[in-house]
Amino acid sequence: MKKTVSALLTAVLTVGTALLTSCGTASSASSQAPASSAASQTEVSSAASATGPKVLNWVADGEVTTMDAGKSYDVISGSQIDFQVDTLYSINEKNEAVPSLATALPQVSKDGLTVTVDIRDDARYSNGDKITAADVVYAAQRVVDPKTGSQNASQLNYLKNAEQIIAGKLKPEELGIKALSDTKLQFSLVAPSSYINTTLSSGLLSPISKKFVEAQGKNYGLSADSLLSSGPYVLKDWNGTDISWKFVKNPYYWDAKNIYFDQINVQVVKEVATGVNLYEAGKLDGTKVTGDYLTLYKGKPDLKTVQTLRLTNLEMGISSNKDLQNENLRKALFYAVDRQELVSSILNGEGVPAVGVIPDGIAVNPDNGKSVKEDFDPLVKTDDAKAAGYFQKALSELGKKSVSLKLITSDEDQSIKIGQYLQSVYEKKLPGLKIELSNVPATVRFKQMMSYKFDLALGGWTGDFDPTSYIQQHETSYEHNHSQWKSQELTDLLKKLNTTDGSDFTLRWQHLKEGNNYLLDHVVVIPLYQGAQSFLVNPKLKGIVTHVLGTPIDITHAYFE
Amino acid sequence: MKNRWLRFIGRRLAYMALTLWIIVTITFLLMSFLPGTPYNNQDRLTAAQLQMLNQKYGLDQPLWQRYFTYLGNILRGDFGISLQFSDQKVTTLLGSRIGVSMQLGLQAVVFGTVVGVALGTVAAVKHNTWIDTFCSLFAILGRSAPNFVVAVLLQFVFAVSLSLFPIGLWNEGFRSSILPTLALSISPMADSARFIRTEMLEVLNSDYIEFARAKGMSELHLVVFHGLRNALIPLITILGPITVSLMTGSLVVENIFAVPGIGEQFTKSVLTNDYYTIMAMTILFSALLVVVLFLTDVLYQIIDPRVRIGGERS
Repeated sequence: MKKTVSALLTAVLTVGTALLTSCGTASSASSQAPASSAASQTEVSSAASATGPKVLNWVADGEVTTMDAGKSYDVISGSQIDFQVDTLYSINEKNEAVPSLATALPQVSKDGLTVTVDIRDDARYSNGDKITAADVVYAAQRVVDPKTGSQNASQLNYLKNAEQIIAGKLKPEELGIKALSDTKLQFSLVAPSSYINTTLSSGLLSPISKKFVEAQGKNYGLSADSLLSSGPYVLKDWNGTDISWKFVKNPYYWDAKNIYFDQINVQVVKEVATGVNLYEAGKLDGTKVTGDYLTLYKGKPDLKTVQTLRLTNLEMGISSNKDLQNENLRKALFYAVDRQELVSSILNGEGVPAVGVIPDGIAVNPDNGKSVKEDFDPLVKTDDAKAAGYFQKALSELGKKSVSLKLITSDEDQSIKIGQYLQSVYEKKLPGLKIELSNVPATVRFKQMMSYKFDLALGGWTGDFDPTSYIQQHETSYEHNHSQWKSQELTDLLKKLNTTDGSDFTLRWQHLKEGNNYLLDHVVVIPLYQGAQSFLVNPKLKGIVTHVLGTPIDITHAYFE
Repeated sequence: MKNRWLRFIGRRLAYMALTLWIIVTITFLLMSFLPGTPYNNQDRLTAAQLQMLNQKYGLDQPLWQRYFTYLGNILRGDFGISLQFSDQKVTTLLGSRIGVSMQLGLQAVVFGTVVGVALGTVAAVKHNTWIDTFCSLFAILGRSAPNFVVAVLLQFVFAVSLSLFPIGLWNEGFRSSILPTLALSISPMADSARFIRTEMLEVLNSDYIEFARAKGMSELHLVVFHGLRNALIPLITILGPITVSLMTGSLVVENIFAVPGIGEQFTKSVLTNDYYTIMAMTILFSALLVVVLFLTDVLYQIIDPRVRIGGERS
């Protein structure tokens, strides 16, 4: 009975908090195990081992915004598109590209500007048509064509002429991608890139049949019937805005023999508590968990936590606030935050402390294979004495007795809590500092940051496999340089990173380190934590690949043991 | 008489159209003041891209021009496309969702009102007994318990513990609708119970009831045909808006039971600047409300002799 009550309470609390403030991490902790955990797991596995079609019941935590690979920009859509497109390369657990539609890793010319890729000649769409190199070219041209309106078009900016085509100044046909034959692709890059293998794994480069797209016209991609699959599964029963749909195995997929499930049913469940109940009842083989459920499932085989490349930072409007132009004040703010406390008591383990401006788990040192956390200087620290010292220095330099700053956060639950945490920590550790909180809708926060007129704001950045974007964000002329920090040194460094470094991996890694250290030394931004997502996954399900970027749990090649 | 009805209906229809037009105009204006863009990936868009997207969706035109284009389009039945659901027609979105919400809403209103009226009547008849106290307590609880608590409780007790109904999802036909309906019906149930109790007490104390009782009419007949009929009239007034708000869905209940209703779309469309979905939701909501208010007035004309349409000025 006690267990039942506690599970129920958790459910009410989680749902309640989630609904009141739209993102759930309830505050009360409960260490009781869920009521029917053991019983229902046997139920799940017996269902799995039954003969007949092999079916997986999977979950999505929101509707898909689009099933069109060329338009997709969000994680949920991307994860559903993964089922139905074949990409040149797929990303394995170690963030390395492995050939999929391509037959081998790309060949890069000496100057690093021309890349050729061979694709398989046995690849087919779900209607039996052959997939050719021209289809990849068409897909890429379609993405940058302003008529398509892809919000993700700038992801192809590494290709020659992409930027001009997106801005409507050149024709899509002038994009730096060509089909040399039915199975040979040639890419022309703007600059050499050390991450070309992983970059080419993008769904934006998954083949599309021009014939099919043109036959569908305006309706292309708007429902299951107006899509063609090039991947392991074919989408069914989706009208464009549904909250459930399914995938059936694509018999024409070149690797169909290694695809285990005949059918995957996907159900949108937005309430974490409902998802957990459905999971426990054996109706779902996986679901997302947050807040108290993390404590409840801690140590169980069902719980899977996946780190993301989302970095949450405390950003400063250095250009608009005179006080923040004082480096000692910024240093005081930097050293006063206890990031470990933040992730364990405020985020309930839904994140890890930031190690720098570049997140851990992204690229590795090309020479020794060490990660950012292992290889970079440990500059992100907590030091109360230092913080207090810097603050005193700042006050005397500014000739003030106190400083007050306004902190803008989004108005969802987690951001509000982080804001309150920062306020209490700063006001306690730095007497004389006054933090005023302002919780606003995300769009308003975003607009204020983009106006560059603010004191403090809780912001974040998600880059891709190339760590450069995390440095780029703070470059003098970059539009997302919210602090408006001006530095010729950083501009020069980025120029090197984006051009000449492309062919010298060691030097490039060195420059990334320099950029990271420069931003931390001058406290242009205060990194707080790196995101993590947690899921309950049927322990019988094997062959899962987790990703720091894109689909957190990739089950396209998963199977039941 | 017939003429009067026609004029009454004609005038009301004209008012309804005018009301809708005013609502559309005001919403359109307010919407244009929303900060941000309707593009969900806006923090990754360059200025050039933003410009091309605005051009594609016609958002680069001046406000008045967009307003008139929009008015023209809706008159032709084109409600535009949703930007949070990349280029899907708004009518597809509403079409696939509104049915579920309306079904749940109507079931909840019918069930809630019937049970509520019964509770209220019993409470009034057994005035100042434990039954009355129980009914009133139930009504107060039902009115004040937030529906996420009610929904989670129902889900936990009837689905998780007793396994009588599905925990959620919309794949078992009517069975899937039972728990969400129950969760939604609590509020109309509590409202009508309180309302009917008050009205019944008043009616039951009136002279004509005393008279009927003196004539020797049976108590059941008296309560049902004389008491309830009169007490029900004011209930019609509050039922209209309740029905509309339940039919347009509940974010909370629909999310908890993972049913494909429309409840969330209003909030979500505003938060994501999904302009045409905001407009379509507003039009849908206000059209339903206006129509229901009109029907309420017509019903009044029929059942309540005191509010007959005023005659010609004599």
